[in-house]
Amino acid sequence: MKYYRSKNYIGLLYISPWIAGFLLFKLYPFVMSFIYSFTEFSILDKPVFTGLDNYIYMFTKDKLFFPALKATLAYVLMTVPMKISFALFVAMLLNMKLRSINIFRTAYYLPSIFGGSVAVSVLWRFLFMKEGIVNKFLGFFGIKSIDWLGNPDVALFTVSLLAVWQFGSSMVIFLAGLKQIPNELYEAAIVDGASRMRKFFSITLPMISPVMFFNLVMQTINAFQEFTGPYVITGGGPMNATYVYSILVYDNAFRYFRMGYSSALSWVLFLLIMVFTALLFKSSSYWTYYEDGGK
Amino acid sequence: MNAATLHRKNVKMMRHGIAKVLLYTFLIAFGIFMVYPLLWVIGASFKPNDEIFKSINIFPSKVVLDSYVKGWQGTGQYTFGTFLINSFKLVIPVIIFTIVSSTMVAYGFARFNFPLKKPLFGIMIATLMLPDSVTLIPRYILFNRFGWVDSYLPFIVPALFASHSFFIFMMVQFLRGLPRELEESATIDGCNSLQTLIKIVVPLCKPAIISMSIFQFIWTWNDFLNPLIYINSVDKYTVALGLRMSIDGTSVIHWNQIMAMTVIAMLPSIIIFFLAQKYFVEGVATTGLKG
Amino acid sequence: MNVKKFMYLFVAILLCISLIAGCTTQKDKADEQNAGTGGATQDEGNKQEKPEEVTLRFMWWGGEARHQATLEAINTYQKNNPHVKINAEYGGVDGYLQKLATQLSSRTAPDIIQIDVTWILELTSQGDFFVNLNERDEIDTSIFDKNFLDQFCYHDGKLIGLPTGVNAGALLYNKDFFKKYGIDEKMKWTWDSLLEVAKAVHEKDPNAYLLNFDAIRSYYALKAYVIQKTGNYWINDDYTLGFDRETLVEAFNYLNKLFEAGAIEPFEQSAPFHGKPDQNPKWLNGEIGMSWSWTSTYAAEKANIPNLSIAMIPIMEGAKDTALVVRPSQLLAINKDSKNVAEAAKFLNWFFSDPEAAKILKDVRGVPATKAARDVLVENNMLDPVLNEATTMAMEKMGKPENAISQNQELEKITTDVIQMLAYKKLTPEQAADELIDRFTQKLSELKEQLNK
Repeated sequence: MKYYRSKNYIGLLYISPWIAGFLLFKLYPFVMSFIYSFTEFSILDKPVFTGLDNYIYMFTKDKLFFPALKATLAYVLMTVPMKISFALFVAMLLNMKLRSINIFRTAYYLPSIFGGSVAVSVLWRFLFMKEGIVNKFLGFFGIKSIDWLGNPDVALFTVSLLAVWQFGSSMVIFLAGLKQIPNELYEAAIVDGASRMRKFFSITLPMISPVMFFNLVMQTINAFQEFTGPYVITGGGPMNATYVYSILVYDNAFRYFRMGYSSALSWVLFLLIMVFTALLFKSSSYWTYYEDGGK
Repeated sequence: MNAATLHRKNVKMMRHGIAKVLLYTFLIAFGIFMVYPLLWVIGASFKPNDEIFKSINIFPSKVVLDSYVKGWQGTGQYTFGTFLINSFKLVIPVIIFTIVSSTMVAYGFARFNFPLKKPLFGIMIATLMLPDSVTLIPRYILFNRFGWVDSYLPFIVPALFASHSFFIFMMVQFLRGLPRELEESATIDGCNSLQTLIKIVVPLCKPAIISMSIFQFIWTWNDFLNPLIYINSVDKYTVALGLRMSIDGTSVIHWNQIMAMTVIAMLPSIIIFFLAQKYFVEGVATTGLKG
Repeated sequence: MNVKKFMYLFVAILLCISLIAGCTTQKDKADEQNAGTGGATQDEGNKQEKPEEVTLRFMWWGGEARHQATLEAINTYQKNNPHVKINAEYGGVDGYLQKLATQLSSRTAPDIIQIDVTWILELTSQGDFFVNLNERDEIDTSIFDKNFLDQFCYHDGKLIGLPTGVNAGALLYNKDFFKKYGIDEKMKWTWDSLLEVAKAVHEKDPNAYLLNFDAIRSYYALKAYVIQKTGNYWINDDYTLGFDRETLVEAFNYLNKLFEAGAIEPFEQSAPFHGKPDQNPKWLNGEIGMSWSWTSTYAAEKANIPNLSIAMIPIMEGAKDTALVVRPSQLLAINKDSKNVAEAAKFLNWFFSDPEAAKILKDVRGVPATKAARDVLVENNMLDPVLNEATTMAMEKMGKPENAISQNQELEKITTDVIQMLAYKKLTPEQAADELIDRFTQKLSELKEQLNK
């Protein structure tokens, strides 16, 4: 019992840098944005307390709030599964012992090195415009050209493809996770005559479930806050089809100078992400497997 | 060895060969899709300026060579080299501090029990959920009060204090995927927890630590908004600021120079990724640590 | 809860805080030392009765040409005034306003700041950030056109900033395109002729369009059409609509005709280039002939389209106002928190009035707003004659300057949203007018309420 107690303090000691960092750098901005959310605050002027006005306005009067929420949910539901399954697929390919696999790995990571650079937005428009490369390619197969960025029903999908295309960091995390699986497990499975599928479902998936869980949580949190992609490629259009929540937050903060309202919007998003993440955490006990016994 | 088994073996090898060819074809076809953007940017950097937006061709109609020289010179006050050096000055300490602090904190969360562990972990994850737009101003006010504006301290000091929850969470997940037996035996051998961390855990987590440094390098290197807000002096500009410093609709924009500098700016990231990935090859399984 | 545990936590935090505090005190010391050495030179300076050494921060956005010219001007000024050191803080336009707002809110903004004329109201209505330049003896404001200053640079009787140049709404057109489709370059555009020519072009070649319009440019056209009809502001100063439903329906009907006649490339196709129509390959390759833009973008666009020229925006017969927007390209203002207002003002005065400065700065901030500087450039052949002529014409024909509320960003967003719904045929012109009036009325009452708080 005494041993356990002394461990208590050691654990706290290890996380103390984070606690200090949180108190020093994170707490103040967090608290302030929460306070702002109950005020009318233009950044430049003093905040004026307005009670719940911002929150009431959001749900009753803001014509962009619900469309933005809908676009964001659609974006999350599209992007996260596509990106994660794609990243896992590529990670498994690149985990094979092939010659010059290094070059392939680097090549496949290139899109993620681009980040949100100027070049990407230019390029994405060239790929997906009416006479763009994608339509030309589809033309070979006799498929009629599609207005990838101009059709309101398709634009959000096109924008989410950009996120999927930048699957590199999830892929690297999967790759690192795959590398941690002990070879003996597979060797034992081969002795048992297990099929490829069986090996995947009974060894690979459970063993990488912790990193899978991590990718799922982080990609969900990020997708809810996606800004750069839609902002630089479509600017939220056409007809607000890609006007995601973060653009609404940004516009209110720095285009209309309504920092108070923008903070209120942010806290609603915060709660929403919180609920989603909590659900993921709750569900994880059913499907993640921890070598350390899952404490 | 009779003929039948030999034949079977040959068939198997042939099948294996076909599978390999198919695999490579697939990898290459897909690879082109991934590399295409880089090729386009390289092509664009050699195009005459007015051609870049006119055609989607990779190859320039007329090769222009001076975009690298002129882009490097920039406005003449500082060359792009200054921005590259600045970016390294900013990124290297950030990476080192992030690795040390995040690994420590993750170790604390993953391997010890302590009061309030769950709520603290929750708060740690929750700090990722509030959009940057609304914390930007109060954070600026804070760092301004510390006197850190127009320096790299707003990036470096938070890294020292494990401010990147993404990496803590990532390390926690990796640690939890590792069996504890090795650490326990180290404890029995008389190692204290810090020694266990350094001697046992860190080597085991090499792939994760390498991934962490790659991500932190690329993300900090590419970050535009934070340097924009915190850095005033042009002689302290980072690469991301340097790339956008002459983009304005009311002046002639030399896109070919910007593309040329985009290529230069990407090189360190590409090189680092290429070098770092050999550590993915020697994961836990192949180092034979787990015996 | 165990007290001991908290003690540990507390000690750990304290340790970290002291670490940081250590850093800052060290930095402070360094600052003090710097200040000390600075003071020493100052003392020496005083002996020789030299003016006190000052450092000014000057922030602007722009492209390469503007950066280079401004840096050269700063160097020249520093040579003539060795006691002044000017730190140039320049960058692209991306995020400039966001940075400025952040700096103003925590009082860390530079001494001299370039601002856009459309921000004046946003900024000044929320705080007193800028020096009233009219009260500074260092600055000779008589070199500027008084009317121009009165209309754009004053707010509440204070001179907020000085105009760097003149910028006007204009039609930029591709001469090659005009030749190809037999369009008269000398044409005085009216709304009717615009529609007619556009129709003819699109009938001749279904891939060609006369107008390079995205939602924002369509909004410029819509607004101009309405203002020419009414002669009012777009939105009145008392936050009521400057037009009635009938006029708006007519304007939307006209816009709809442009869409239907193929005058404008369908939004479905041009969507990738909305917000940046200057990058549309069809425009750059001469498949679209004309763009509603600003004279300030002429030089930039001409780099891609060598045979570019400028025409006056369409004006209807019997227009009550030309609705031609003419305004300063930017303003240079002095931060009220500046510790060296006098030196900053001296620099600004030199920047605007010195012939040498004019020669260095050319038209990198638009056609200069002072006649003297314009003359210097014309004498030295430094001004594009097309641009000069267009600017002069625009000054003659300029409409009533827009009031603040008409430039409101939220109203702009509503209008461009409604225009998109019209272009995508989700609304008829009548419905579009109703939708716009509906949303405007709601937003305006909100804005008014806010104002009264």
